[in-house]
Amino acid sequence: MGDDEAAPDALALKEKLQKRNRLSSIVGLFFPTVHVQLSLNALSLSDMDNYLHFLEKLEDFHEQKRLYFYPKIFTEVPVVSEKWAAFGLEYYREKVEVQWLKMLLPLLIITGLCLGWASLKFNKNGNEENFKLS
Amino acid sequence: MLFDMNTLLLKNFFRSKGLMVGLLFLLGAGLVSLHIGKLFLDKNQEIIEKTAHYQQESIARNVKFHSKEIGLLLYYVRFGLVNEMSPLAGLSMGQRDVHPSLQSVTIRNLEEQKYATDLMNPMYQLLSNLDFSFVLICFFPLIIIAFCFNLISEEKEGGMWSLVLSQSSRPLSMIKAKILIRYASVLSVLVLLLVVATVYLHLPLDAALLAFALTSILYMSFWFALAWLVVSFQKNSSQNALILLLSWVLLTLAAPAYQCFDPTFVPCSRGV
Repeated sequence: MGDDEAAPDALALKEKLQKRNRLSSIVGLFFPTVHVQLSLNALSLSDMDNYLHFLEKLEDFHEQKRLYFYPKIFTEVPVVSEKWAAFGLEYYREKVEVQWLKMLLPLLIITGLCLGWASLKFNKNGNEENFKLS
Repeated sequence: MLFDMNTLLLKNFFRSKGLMVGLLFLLGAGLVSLHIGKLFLDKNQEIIEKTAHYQQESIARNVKFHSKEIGLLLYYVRFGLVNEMSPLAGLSMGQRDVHPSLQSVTIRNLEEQKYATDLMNPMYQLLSNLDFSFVLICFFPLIIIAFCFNLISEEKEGGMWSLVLSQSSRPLSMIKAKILIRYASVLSVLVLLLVVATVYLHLPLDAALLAFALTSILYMSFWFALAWLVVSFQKNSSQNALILLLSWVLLTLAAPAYQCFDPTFVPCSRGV
């Protein structure tokens, strides 16, 4: 079967996509723009993880249909005996998992670092405000 | 004394045409992006409804034509699976404009059907849609930079700085007031856009929306903190602008392009 032959390559592709996804999250820890884009995508279920889960669900869906129909094909069940009208569109609903700390902490840390450094610059000589004339 | 100074700073802010135009630009770009998001959500909803109807019709027609042999019938019959879209996808489209949200598959080999997408112009896909997350991530920082880069340097270059230093015992509080006014104005534009988004796109009031709003506000605050840091170096206007714009280029353009240097990149054997 074509699917069985392609299975190792399909698995390799999936692993590659997951590796890239993980690398993106790590880069996001240092770059707020990347982090925010990834976080917003994750909240909107429009990120790579959602796509990979959907593909998994699609595989299960396909397998389930095959397991249901193949016996009927090989035992040559008459077409009219099947309730065809019952086959409607099926839905995959993913639930959003909000990871508050993972999402907000990198931004809080980097903002805090900026503000901390700025206050060091402004108060260089102890309590006296360090302003140059020009 | 402090109260008068703040009112004066406020008046100066509202009278400045450049700053008002900046806020209006943000609001305009944000509203356009919300409309694009709404169109995207509506189109997706329409496709799903049409397919639901069409699937029933198509199966019935196939059954009529291939009523003798179930194997031949099932060669053609397609079953659809929908990847339900959250309304928040109208704000942040991500992969949803590249990968379809609905896959109709036959019971033949899955591998050749899995990656089927709609025909789309690859140039437009590369440019990606103007959605709210794009406005937030790329446009908001530009306006924040424009508002904050000359906080101290405009006083120095306008010749007023020596007056401020001699008159006020705490010049830092004046600079702080300036940046807080700007922070409040950009924050109100952001909150307004989020409120309009919630109403226009019928977003459910759940944890995801709250997280979305908090992340957006924190991101905006990060940019103000960065601008504040650059202001604290007390360089002149052009140097401040240069540093901030370089950071903007680094963060919004260079960082997402890191994939070119991905060390784990190993091509799959034979590809899929």
